[in-house]
Amino acid sequence: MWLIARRSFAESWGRLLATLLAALFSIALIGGTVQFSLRAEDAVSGGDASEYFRADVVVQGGSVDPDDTRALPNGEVRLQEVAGEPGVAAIAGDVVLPVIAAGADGDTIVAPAGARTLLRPWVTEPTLNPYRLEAGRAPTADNEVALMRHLADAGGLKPGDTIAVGLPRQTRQMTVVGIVTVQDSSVVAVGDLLLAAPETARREAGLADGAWHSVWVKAAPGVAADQLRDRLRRSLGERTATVRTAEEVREAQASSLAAQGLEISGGIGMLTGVSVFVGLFVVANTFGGLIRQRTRRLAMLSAIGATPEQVKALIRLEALALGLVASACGALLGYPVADALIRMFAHDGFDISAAEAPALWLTVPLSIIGGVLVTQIAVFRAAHRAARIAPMQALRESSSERRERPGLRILAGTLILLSSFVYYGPVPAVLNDGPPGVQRTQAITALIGFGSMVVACALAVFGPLLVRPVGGLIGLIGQLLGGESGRLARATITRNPRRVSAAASSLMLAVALATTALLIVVSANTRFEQAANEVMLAQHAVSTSARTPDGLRPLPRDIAARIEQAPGVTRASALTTTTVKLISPPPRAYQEGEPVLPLYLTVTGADPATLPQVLRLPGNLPALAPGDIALPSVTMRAQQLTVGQGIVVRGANGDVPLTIAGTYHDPTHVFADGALVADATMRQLDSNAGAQVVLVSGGTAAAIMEKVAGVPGATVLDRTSYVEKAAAAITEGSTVMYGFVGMTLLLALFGMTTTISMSVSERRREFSLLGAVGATARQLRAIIHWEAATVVTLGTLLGLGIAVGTVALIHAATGSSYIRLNAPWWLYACVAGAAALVTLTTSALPARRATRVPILARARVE
Amino acid sequence: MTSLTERTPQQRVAVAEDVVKTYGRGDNTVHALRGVSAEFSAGQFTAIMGPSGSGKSTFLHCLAGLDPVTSGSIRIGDLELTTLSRTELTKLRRERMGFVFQAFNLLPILTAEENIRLTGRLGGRRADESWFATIVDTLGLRERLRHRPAELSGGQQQRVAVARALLTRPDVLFADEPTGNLDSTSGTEVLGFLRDAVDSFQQTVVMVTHDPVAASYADRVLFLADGRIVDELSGPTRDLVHARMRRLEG
Repeated sequence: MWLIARRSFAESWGRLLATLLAALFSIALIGGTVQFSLRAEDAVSGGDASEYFRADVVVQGGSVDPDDTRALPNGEVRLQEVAGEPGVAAIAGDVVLPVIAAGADGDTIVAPAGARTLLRPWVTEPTLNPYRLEAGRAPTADNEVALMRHLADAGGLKPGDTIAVGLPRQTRQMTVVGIVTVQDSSVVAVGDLLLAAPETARREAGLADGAWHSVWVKAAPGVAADQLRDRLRRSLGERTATVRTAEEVREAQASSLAAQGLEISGGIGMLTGVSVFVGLFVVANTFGGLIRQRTRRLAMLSAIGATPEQVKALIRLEALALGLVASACGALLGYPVADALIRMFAHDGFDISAAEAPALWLTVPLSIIGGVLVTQIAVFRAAHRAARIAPMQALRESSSERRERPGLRILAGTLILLSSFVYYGPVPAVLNDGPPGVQRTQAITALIGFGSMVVACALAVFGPLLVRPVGGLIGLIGQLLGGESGRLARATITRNPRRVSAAASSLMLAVALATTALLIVVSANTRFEQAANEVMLAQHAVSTSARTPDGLRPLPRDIAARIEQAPGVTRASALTTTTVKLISPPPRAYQEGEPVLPLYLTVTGADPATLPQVLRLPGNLPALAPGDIALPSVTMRAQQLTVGQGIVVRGANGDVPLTIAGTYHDPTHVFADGALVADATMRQLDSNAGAQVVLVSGGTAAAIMEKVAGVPGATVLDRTSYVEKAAAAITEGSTVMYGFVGMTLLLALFGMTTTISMSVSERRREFSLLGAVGATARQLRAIIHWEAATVVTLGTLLGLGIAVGTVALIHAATGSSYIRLNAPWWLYACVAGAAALVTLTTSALPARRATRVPILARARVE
Repeated sequence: MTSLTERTPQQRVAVAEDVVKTYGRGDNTVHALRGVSAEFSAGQFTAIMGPSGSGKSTFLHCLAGLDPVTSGSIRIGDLELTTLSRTELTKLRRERMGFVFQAFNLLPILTAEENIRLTGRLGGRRADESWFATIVDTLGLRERLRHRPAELSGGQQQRVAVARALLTRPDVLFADEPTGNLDSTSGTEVLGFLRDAVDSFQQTVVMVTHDPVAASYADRVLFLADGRIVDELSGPTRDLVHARMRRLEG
């Protein structure tokens, strides 16, 4: 059997090429995902190197949010308060200041694995200093910095180079004097570090003399870390400082990173699931075609003594050969796929490029196992069908399909259709369990998307039943227009429904995928444009091109003053952002019985005097005085808050009492989605808050660009572009999603090409008979084209139906104004036109080949 | 399996009793066989003849277990075919039957030798090498063993099919119009080999043909018309067969 399988594979590998490529791509996606997940894991666990590894106790100013292990201290600690305590052997002050760093090429350097880039002081106390100099020296002068190795590698920087550092207030050009590692790692858990002279770091953070964000403590010999922690807690008081052992801080960081890694791998796994599904579909479809082509051969084997199990084994062995070849190549292709994924994620603010690439011995076997599994599952039905071929079929001349019982097909299709409720079913539960927002919309979109894939499977099963009416109608048109060839086409279509349906179902999948993606993109873009024009009065927006896990990277606040100097600019208003946690009143559960989750608000700070000139936010929004806050109506409702009510939020500088002065709605979700305060209030909440965007009235893009040229990553955008870009930045993984949709579409197209070209090639015997009785090559091509028209009609109608149904369901479930059916009619026409073009092009070449083979040669074809 | 040399001419290798085969339902029902009974003895060469549509090929297919019967009984040796599962039937065909079809039915991806050994390999049995050599030399295929079917003439392809059928020493060899696709020289060669297999190795052969010359190689001829056996001729000659056929065809 192996010999026959091997020879069959070698003989038909040309026909199998597209299947092989489809399987290869699927396996490459599996391999790439495995590698990405392993690298993400490495980036995450590799990031557990901690700058606190030499310290015993960490005293952080104010309170540190226990719900966010990456939260920065929101208070100050005076060095002297800790220095005199018994049991303290050594201390060092620490500052944590988020910054933007640009490499030698001017591009922003993204910190690995969703972490931040921070400016911190060099630790001069040798017993506490975790930084090992790999090159150069420690920073001593005001404009000097030492970089962690990842920053230096990613930015192409070495000692002596200049680095642009975007600080909250200004952008500074600093000189790189050293490269450091911590515990042999290029990054630490919180991300990339720039180490400045202690006084420089403290001053940039706006701290008074002797004050620090936190103090690292080395315990005296014989004093245990937890003893010292308890002692310091008692003496400092829990309200002014958070005292933890260094080990506690490290553990909290590691567990948070592990959870983040798991979340990313889960998301990637889900997208891979879609690609693997399409891969399975394609391989299954192609093998179905191969079985049809080989009916006589398999029947002959059965006649001379091959048992059904042996016939099954033959098909499975062939799939094994295909799986092994595809896996071997796919495993290697997994590396560039993983690299592409890493680049796409880095674009979305989650960079794991610093992590080690996993070893071949781990990824190749995993890819091969995955690949073999995928191909074996894909040929399950084909092998089963092959085993059922009766030996008598070896002796029949006719190539038309055996009539089958439609009842069985209807039952199977209905069962698959019902199983789609595994995905559709939980949608109402998700709707009830979570508050409205991007995350809930994403979860519902994913569920409905998976459900629709199952529906696509069901339609593929129903396909042959639909071929008769649709094919009959098309054939009738063909008969009216094309005479005898149209009549023959009608007969071949309606008598070989499975063959036509196989090609149509591949097309259906491609059309469904492409149309769903197009409908969502068009709908979102239309809404963005509409919302941007509604809300944004300014003509231009200046923001950074780089992203962080929290959205677009902030700009230094001095940028607004620079822009105002540009000719023609009448107003430049910076919108600063920070995140605060609602402390009082305590957050409410979304629904009774649900757990109470901490409520974080992204607060936007703006100059109340200029805000109405650059933004028009609908709602009841008065001019905000210091100490006022305005909240979106959805938050007011969910938290049962009222205008005039006092609330307390915890920002970077500690707890701040505020009064709710108004409510509004930001339809763009990018300017002030969480809350709105005046600049003065923002300084209370977070004195280092960076500007998310500067909205500019007047002036030209070129003139503004000239003024922001020295700011790392700053770009000038028009209304719609900015809103789209900012929205994409808060929609995690959008680039990755598009990447996956693109790859999956490619897979579906491969499948369609193979299936259609096979469905033409498998009929060379039939064409020989027609040729022998006088059909011209032109007539034969007409038959093929009418059949292709049926494939296009059926595939396009079903594909469009799935896409429209999916988008309509998502809109109905989420109510999102960004996902709705508002695409122009020509979009559908374009999709149908593209489907027709691809199908006709795909069938033209094999049709030409099939009709050009001499009649006698064709007659010899098996 | 009973070896060829142990068989006696009187031993019944295959028996068909009151075999009925119908296709379709209701008004579309076609009665291909209407109660056919026949016996086939070991070492006997039987030809089945009849006009087009008489049911001769259907009878052969039913006899060989390729096509299930509507009613009646078919026994190969002491095994009742109609009660066997698909896998059991396949194993029976593999171990006790050989087939030669009009369309050769060789696997184009295998060489002549691999095609000849295929049935044995499917059963997981090693071929008797001396028997293989005997068959190959008798059929004149020694020089063609490494060729693929596409590189062989029609006569050579049919000889490969005969060799494949004989290699497992089947109880009975079924041949369906084995010369239908061959020129007269090649056809004569193939018929000569089948006759030789009967005479030299006591092989049982059941052959469907429409050619009186081919039928004249057999020991007896069964004539079918309208799904029934209507006549039988022992020691046939071309002229006798021809005369009977003319009578049947009216």
